[in-house]
Amino acid sequence: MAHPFDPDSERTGVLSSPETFRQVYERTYLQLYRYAFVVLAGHSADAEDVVADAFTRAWQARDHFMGSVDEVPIWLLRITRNRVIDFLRSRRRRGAEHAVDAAPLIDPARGPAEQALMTDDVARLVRLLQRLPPDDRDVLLLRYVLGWPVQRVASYLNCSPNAASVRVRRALERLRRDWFASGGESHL
Amino acid sequence: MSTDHTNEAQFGQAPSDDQLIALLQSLQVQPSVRYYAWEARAPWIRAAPAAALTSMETQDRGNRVAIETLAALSHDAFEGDPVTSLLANLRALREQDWTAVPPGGARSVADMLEHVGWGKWMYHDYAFGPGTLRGNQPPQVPAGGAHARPREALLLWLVEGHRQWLSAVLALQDDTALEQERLTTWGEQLPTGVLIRILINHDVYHAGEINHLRALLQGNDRWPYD
Repeated sequence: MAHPFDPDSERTGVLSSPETFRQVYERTYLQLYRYAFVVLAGHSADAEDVVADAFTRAWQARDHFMGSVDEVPIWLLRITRNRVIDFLRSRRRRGAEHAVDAAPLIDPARGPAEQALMTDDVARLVRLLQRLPPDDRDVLLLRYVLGWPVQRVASYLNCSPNAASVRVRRALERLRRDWFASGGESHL
Repeated sequence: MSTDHTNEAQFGQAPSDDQLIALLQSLQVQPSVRYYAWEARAPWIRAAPAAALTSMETQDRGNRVAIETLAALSHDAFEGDPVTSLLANLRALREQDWTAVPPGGARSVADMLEHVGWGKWMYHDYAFGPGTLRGNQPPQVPAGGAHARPREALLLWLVEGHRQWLSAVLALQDDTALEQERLTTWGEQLPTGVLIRILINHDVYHAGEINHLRALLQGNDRWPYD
């Protein structure tokens, strides 16, 4: 069987078998979870539900996916992104807004003082990411949280790698300006 | 999280690109055990180990029957069996049972899970990886001389160790790979199939220990039909 990320795999039906889907899942679930986790302001249970829902939908639709193996992570991210948007809409309709929850990001091996500093910085970062334009937020997440290479970010954005690099750079610059403008102490 | 947050000299300044990138990378978190409990029931996860048992009946999976059977047994021993698996035996634990030791005992449930996790990570590293982990150093032992790491961290580490091991088993090409000798943590070379069987039995053995320890701690050590 061809490896799901082997560029020489056939272009159709790459997700048809459970084994292949499982391999794809193994390589992507953490990325998708991290994306949902940040966009949902660090609420891990919500992110887990969204990712579980996204993969369930992808599983049900796997036979309809006709892209290449390189496009699988992008396809899965789009499904996840749509589920996140639906979830946020539903949450707004219920009038339930959540504060940033940085608790899952705290390494228990750190001392209490260090944990407190980490909480402040991480919570501030997640808050600022919520306020960025979604496209800026997404390129930062794809590049630095999901760890995607520029080439794949470019495919997701449907632009050249150079253009993708520029967009990542601009988004980073905007985040830095927002950080400075948000005032207060940085513990970085 | 590997970010170094010790440089506190820049209060009030905009962080550098490197600092922002490092902070962004600190968002590379793992889901909780709750997620992994869902994952274990996902059809594409169940399909791989379960395929082994089906294939034993249909004989249509050719030369991977033994591999997939061992993978199915590994899965059952760790989390698949709803009653006897290692993770199933953690469900009835109360908060205080996690680190408690009964009279005359010396090891808590957390201590036992540290040991089980240690085995999974070490066996994988020596049999399938570079063999660079050291059994007496973090992350193989909790940082700071603790007996066991906090519950959530311990479970994540344990589950990840199992996932890694099971993935390596399922990645074996065919049943002849089970004969291939691999390095053990004590320096001996053993057939791959033997190593897999050791870890299956290891999970079952400690699941039973944990069940008995829980029963002693909760004062209900009796047969279920009594």
